[in-house]
Amino acid sequence: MSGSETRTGEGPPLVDPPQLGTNLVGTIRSLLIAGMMACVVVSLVGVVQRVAPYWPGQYLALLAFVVCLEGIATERLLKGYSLGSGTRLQVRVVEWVLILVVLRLVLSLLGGWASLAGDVSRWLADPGAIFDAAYLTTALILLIVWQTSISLANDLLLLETSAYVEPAPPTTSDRFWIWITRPKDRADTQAAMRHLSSVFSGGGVLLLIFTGLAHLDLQLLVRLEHPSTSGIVLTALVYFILGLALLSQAQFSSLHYQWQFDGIEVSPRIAPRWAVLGIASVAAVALVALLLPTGYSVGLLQALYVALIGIFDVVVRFLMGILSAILLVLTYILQFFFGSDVAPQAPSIPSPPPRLPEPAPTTAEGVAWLDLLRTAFFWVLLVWIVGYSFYQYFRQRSDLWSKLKGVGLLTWFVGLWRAFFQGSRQVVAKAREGLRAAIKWIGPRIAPSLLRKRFLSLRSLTKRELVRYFYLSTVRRAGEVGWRRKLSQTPYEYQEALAEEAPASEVDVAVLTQAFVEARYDVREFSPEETHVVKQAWQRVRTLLRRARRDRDKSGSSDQSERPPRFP
Amino acid sequence: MTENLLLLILTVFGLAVLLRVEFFFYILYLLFGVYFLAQVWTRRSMRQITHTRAFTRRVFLGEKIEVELEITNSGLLPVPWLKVNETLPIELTSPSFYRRVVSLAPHEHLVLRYELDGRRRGCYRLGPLRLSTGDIFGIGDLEVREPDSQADNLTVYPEIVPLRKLGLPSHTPFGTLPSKERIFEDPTRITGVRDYYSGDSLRRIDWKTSASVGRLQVKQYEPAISLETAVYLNLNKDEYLGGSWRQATELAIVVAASLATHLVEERQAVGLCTNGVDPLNGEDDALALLVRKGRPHLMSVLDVLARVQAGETDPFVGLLRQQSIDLPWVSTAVAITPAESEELFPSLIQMQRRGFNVVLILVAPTASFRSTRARARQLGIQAYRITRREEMDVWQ
Repeated sequence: MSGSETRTGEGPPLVDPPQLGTNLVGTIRSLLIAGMMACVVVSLVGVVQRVAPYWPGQYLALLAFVVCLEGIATERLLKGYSLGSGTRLQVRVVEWVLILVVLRLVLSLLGGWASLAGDVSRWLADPGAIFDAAYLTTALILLIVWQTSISLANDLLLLETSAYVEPAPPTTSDRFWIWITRPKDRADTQAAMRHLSSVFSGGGVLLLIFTGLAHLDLQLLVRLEHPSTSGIVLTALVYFILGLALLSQAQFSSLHYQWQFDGIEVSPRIAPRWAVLGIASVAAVALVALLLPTGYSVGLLQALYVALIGIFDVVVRFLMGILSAILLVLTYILQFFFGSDVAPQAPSIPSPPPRLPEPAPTTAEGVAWLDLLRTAFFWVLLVWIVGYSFYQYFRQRSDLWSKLKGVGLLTWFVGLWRAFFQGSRQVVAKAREGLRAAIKWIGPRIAPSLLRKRFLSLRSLTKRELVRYFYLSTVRRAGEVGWRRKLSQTPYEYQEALAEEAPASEVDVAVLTQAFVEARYDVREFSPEETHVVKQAWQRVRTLLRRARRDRDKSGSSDQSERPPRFP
Repeated sequence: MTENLLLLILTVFGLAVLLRVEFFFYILYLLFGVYFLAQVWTRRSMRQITHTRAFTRRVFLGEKIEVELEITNSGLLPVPWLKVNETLPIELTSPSFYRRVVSLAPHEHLVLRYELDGRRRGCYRLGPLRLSTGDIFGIGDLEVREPDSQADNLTVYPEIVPLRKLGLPSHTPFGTLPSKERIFEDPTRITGVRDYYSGDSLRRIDWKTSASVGRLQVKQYEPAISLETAVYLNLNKDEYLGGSWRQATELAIVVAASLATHLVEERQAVGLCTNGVDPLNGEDDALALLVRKGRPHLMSVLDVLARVQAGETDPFVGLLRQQSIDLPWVSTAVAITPAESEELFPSLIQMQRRGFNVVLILVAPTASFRSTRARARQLGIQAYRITRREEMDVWQ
């Protein structure tokens, strides 16, 4: 943060208050908070307009956005000054009165200048007319979001204390010992993070509730007869993505504060990578989530019922088949010993036991198997998510778990969950084993060369290894063309042999050979410039060898009796 | 914060099932996916981090030691932040830690460097290294690893004062130190040629020089002596009087190290016996290195002198009697001790009677040295007192 440093006694030094325009990170965070508040307001407007369709709530989201930004900006400004709580309250009251005035004018202006003029004359005649229902509702909503955004801004400002903590002096200076032994007040960043996440969670739940209420028929909802609603709810998506971004930023600030407080040097690459990783991870999860089913055609209990019936049916048929086979054999044995003029008849297979009634199909055509499978996967996934979440939650809250252990049903359920989890683990482990065995068996019969290939990341190699790789890769490619290296040939001998076969690459091959000999037998390190030169030579030779191989393949000649040496 | 997110996931699930809005399930997947990713990411990140420490393990006093800590992320997942906390010996650097926060891309390796100051002799442990990481949302558990077998040892040798001339006696005929006694001529050290006189051995004739000069010339050899020296170092704290035992024991170690280095540089054999405590072994037995030549042996001696500490151990006279049994005949025994004691001179005399050349070096400032030296001279023992490093120039 910019600004000069001023000391005030023994406390931590204050810095000139950061300006919104000069603090890009602060601006982005302010926009995130304001955006989240606006999303919640949009969903609330949807609910209110179901009850009062004529309420002018269309502009409320924009108003909320602006008001939140204003609240955050003034909070940042006020933070730089040592104001008492009374003075701060006075400032806020004045600020809020101004907002109310502007709000009143804006609401009237929505109907045009004529509407505003009419309203003004009405207010002059009857001041009570200022406070109509729409205005009061809007003001109340704006007050709540304004206050919430200020609270969130406070949390973030507590975490962004790089301007409020004296940076550590160099460890070689005497001032370092004074700095490290001076008692300092460490801010409670964990409390700020908890509050931030609580507001995020609470806001998210409210938004979902408002969205649901806005889209559903309440009467059907109460009777649980409402159909499912499909489609994208953009405000919910935006809210949670902004919220996750804010949490990520807050976590960075919290950690950065702790590191700075402890006088630990922080790499400057962390901040940009943090932002990129945050965006990338949320985007990756969002993309994967798109592939998962979000709807179901069969309810959970119904799906369990159908699954049980299916299993029962299979088991019964299997048992009946075995019984039939045994009876058939017995019949033939008896006929052999006792004989009969009548041709032996195949014993009638006893009819299977009566089956349980099948559930009523949800559609006129019945439930398609693919749909059922999708539903089953959906419910298995959800059960796993809920079970895992509960497990992790009670791991964090072991005290709560101890209290709940006494509840018999819960213990039974936990036992069932454990059995399910262990069973699925065993199934997965067996499937993995089977797959490995299958690949091991099938692989050599189908694609031996494919299996022998392995992915090698050049970035993981050191400079010497990289030079060796370039040379050995060249030898391998030359071998594939038919210019293989004999085992008795030294690198220099092979260089001469290759030069005869491909004179155009003589110089590059010489560079590669020399570099390889040094990398293989010398202990010196290669500089980046030297490695780059070798790499360029390798690339040119590689192009040439690829062309030669293509020409050879076209002409149909091959000489691959011996494999070229592999990279160790 | 994790609890809040888990409660949010469960609440979203409930709302999604109750309200049957399909998009809410997508939000559920998004939140749970982020949570699960954070958990898995943190655990896997720590598993794929490896580190090595490279530094010169043995240095002399006053040298700077540059330590390179190479940290490698061998996996495919980036590590958003990694806090590196290395514990260092306070004797070599202050503050006694090295801390950094870094970030690692997949397959990236990073080299961190810091410098130590070899300002005090000893054997020091670098590390252990403590690594901490976490996810970017603050959801996943913080992974902290303290590998306890990764500590590396650094040895700082004691100060070595260069000595040009020791003046230690020896009766061994051949060696590499010049001697005034001409009966010990070393045929490997030729100092020049002179004309042949009747009676000179024919084996001493230098034929090449004789051919070029035109008359017979014989080689002249330099007399030399061989010193096989055992240094007996007393580090029994109880025998050092007063509060200056630390200073005196350190000086004794410097004297021993300087002597050993000088003798090896003169291509002599040297051994070491001390009743000090080796912190690596932790045993009370005397430390003994046999008399040998060569630089590798000198390094072994200096290793011991770097590590050894004064302690409450066996008396020095016991060490003299016990360890001198294995000394080769007519070796020189140098006893470094703080002061004369009742039992010391009888032990030295016994060693002298067994054929050893004995040199006594006292390092405590409170010794009544004049009488000790006079007594030693009567017995044919050379005695020196060194209470400060500057006094070592008696041999320079």
